[in-house]
Amino acid sequence: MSISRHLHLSRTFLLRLSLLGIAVLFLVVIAISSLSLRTARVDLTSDRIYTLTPGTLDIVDGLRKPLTLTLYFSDHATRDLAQLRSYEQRVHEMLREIAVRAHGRIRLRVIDPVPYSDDEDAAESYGLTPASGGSNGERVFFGLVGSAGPGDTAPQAIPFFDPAREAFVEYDIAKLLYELGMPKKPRLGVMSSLPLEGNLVIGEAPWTLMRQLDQLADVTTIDPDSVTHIDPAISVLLLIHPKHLSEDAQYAIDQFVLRGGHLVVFVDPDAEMDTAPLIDSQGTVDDHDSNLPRLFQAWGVVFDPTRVVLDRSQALTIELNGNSIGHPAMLGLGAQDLNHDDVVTASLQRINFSTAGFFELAPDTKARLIPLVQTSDEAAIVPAQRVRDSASDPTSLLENYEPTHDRYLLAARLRDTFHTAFPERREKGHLAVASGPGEVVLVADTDLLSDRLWIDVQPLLGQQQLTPFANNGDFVANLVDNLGGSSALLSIRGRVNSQRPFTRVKALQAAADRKFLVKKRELENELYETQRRLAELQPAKGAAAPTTATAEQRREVEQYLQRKLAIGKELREVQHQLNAEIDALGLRLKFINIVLVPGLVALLGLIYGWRRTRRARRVV
Amino acid sequence: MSGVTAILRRELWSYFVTPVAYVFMVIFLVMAGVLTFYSGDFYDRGLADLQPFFDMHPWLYLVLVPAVTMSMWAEERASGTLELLFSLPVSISQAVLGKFLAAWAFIGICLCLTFPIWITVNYLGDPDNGVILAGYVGSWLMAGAFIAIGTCMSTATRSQIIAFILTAAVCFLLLLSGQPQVLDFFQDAVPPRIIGALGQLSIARHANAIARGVLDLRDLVYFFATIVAWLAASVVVLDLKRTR
Repeated sequence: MSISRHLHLSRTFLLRLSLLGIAVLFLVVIAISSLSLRTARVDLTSDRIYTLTPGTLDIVDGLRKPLTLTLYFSDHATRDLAQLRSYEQRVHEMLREIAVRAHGRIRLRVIDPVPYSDDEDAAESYGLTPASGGSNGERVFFGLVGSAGPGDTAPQAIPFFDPAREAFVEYDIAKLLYELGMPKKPRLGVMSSLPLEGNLVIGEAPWTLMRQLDQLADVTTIDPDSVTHIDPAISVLLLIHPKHLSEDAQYAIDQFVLRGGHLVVFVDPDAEMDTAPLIDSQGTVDDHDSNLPRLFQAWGVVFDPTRVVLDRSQALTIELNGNSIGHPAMLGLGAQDLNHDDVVTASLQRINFSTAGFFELAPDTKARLIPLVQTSDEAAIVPAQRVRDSASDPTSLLENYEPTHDRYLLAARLRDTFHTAFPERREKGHLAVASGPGEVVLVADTDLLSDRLWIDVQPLLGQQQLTPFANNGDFVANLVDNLGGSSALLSIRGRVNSQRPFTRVKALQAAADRKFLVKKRELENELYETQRRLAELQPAKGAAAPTTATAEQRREVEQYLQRKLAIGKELREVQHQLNAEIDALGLRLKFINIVLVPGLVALLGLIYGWRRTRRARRVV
Repeated sequence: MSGVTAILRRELWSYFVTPVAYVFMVIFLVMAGVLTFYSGDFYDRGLADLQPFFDMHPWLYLVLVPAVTMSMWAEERASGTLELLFSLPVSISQAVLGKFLAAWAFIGICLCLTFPIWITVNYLGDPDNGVILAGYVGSWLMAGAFIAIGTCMSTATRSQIIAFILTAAVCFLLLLSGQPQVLDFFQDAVPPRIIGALGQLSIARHANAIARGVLDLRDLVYFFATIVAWLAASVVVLDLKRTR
C-alpha cells in the first residue's frame, strides 16, 4: 500500500514537474527563436516592400561602427490619420529590418515626442520639422535622427517622412546610414571653361553653386587645358562647358568613365556666361557653344550645339525695356517636366534653363537615356544663331513657331557598358571597355548653374541674403549626392507606393464632383440671366424713376431673390444626392458583409435543423 | 494518427449537428462585419487593405474562442464520458490533438466565410492580396493559439463557465503583454530586457507582424510553440486528473 502510494505521489509530482518543464521549454524556444532566427522570412507583399534591396544591404553590411537610429513619431497626435500611421508602420518595419540586419551595430529607438516634453525639444534641436494637423491641433513629428558615438560625425536627420516621397524612403534611410558610416565627404572634381570661381581681382564673387558644392563635397578644380589624367580618388567629375578640349583631356575623361567614375557633363549651344571674346586675338570665331563630340559618338549620344530648344508653354517671363515678356528660349520646367521616378528630380519643383540644347540616342546604340528633365510637347527647335539674333526682341522667336509635338531631353542619365572613344591608344592601364554597366549624366545647358537663373541675392544688414527661386542648386546637389554616395546607393531605386486607395470610391467622387460642377454652372448661368434681366429693368441713372416701372422691378427683384434661394437649395440637394451615391455603396457593402452572409448561414442552419428534426420524427 | 483523424472528424461533425455552431458562426460574422465597418472605419478611411478587419480579430477571438473550447473537456468530465474516452483505443495526446484540430478547423471555416470582405476590398480598390493572405494566416494562427489555451483550461476544470473565464483571462493577459500602453506602464519599474521579453510573448504582436504581409520564421515558431506547449500541458493535466 505504501509503495503504491509512494509511486502515485511521485507520478503526480513528475507530472507537475513536467508542466513546469513545458513552461520553461516554451520560454527557451521563444528566446532562442527571437535571438537567432532573424532572417528567415517570406515577404508576401506584391512589391516586396519589406525586403531590403541589395544596395541597402551592402551599406548596412559595410557599417564599421555602432549607430543609433531614433524614430520620432507623434503616436498620440496621429490617432485619426490612418494613412500616415500606415506609412509609419512601413518606415518602422524597414528600420527594424535594417537594425536586425546590422547584427547589433544599429540600435533602433522609437520616441513619441509629446507636446512640451524634453523629447519634443530634442526632436526640434535635431532639425526635425513637425507638420501641423494632428489630433486637437497637435504638431506631428515623423522624422529620423541617426547618430554615431559622441564626438563622432554630427547627427544626421530626415526632417519628416513625407508620404509623397514614399517611393524613396529606403534610399533616404540608406543615404543617412551611408553618410553616418562614411564621414568623409565625397571627392568632387570640377573641370570648367566658365568663371565659376568668380574673379577676386575685379570683385566678382564665386557662383553660389560653387559655395554650395564646397559644403557638400571635397572639391578639386581641374584645369581643362593641362589635364592628362583624372585622379582615381575623385568619385564625381563635373565637366562644365567643355570647349576646345585637348585630346589628352578627352582621353582622361574617357578612361575615368571606363574605370567606373561618375561623370556629369554640362554642354550648351549658347553659354551666356562664357566670357571668352567672340573673336579672339587669332581671329578665331567662337560661338560660346560647347560639345564633347568624340565621347558622345562613342557613347551613342547625339547632341547638336547649333540648335536650341524653345518651349512656348514653359517660357519664363523676363523684364525687357520695362515690359514683361515670355522668353521661349528661357524655360521654367516644373514638376510635370521632371522625372518623378528618379531620386534626383523626384522632389524638385522647378528648374530654369536658358538657351538649352537637347540629347537623342544614336540609331545604332544599345545605350539607354533615362529622362531627368524634358520639355513639354509644345517645344520647337531653332538654330542657335536665331536665338542670339533675337536677344533684343525674344518675342520674334514666336513668329512662325511650329511645335514638333515631341518632348526633348534637356537632362538625362545615360546608361551603358561604355566603350572607349580612343581605341587606337595603347597607354599603360588603357581600358577598351568598362568592366560593367556605367552611368553618365548629361545636361544640355550651362546657364542653369549661374546665379541669375535660380537665386535672388538681396543685401540684408550688411550680409547677402540668398533666396532661391528655383531648384537648380538642389538639382546639382542631388546629382553630386546621388553619384558621390556609393554604387550601392545608386542602385537603390524608388519603390512603388504601398498605400492603395479605394479607386472605385474615388472615381465615384470625381464623377460626382464633375456632375456637381456642371449643375452648378447651369444654375449660375440661370442666376446670371435673371440678374441681367433685372438690370435691364433698372431705370437709367439720373432718369426720373417712373412709379410703374418700380412695381415691375419689385416683382422681378422678388422673383430673382426667390430663384436665388431656390438655386442655393437645389445645389445643396445636388451635392447631397451625389454624396448619397457613395453612401449608398457603403450601405450596400455593409449589408452584404454584416447581414446577408450571416443570414445565409443562419438559414442553412435552420434548414439543416428542420430536416434533421423531420427525419428524427419519421424514425420515431 | 488514425485516432487523431477519427476524433477530428467526430468532433467537427458534432459542431454542425447542433445549432450552436450556426449561432457561433452568425455571431462571428456579424461581429467581424460590425467591428470592421464601424469601429475600424473600414469604408470611410478609404484604403484598400483589411487592416481594420484583422485588427479586431484578437478581441473577437477573446470572446468567441473560449465559448468554443469551454465544453471541449470540461463537459466530458462533468458528464463522466471522460473515462469512456480513455477506454477507447486512442491515447490522451491523440484525443487532445483531435479535438484541438477540430476546433481549429471550425474557426478556419468561420474565417473562410468572411470572404465577402475580401471581395469587397477587391471591388473597391486594388489591394495587395499577398498582405491579405498573410492576414488570414496570422489570424488563423492566433485562433490556434487561443484554442490551445482554451483546451488546457477546459481540461483543468469541470465547470464550463470557469473554463470560459480562465481562457478569456489568460488570452487577455497574453494580448495585453504586447500593448504599448502596458509596456510603457512598466517601463520605469522593469529592466528593458524584461520589457522586450514580455513583448515577445504577446500574441497580438506576432499576429500583427504576420498581418503586414511578412511570414517571419520567428512568428511561426512562436505560434507553433504556443500551440504545442498548451496542448502538451493539456495532456499532462488530463493525465494528472486520471492519476488522481
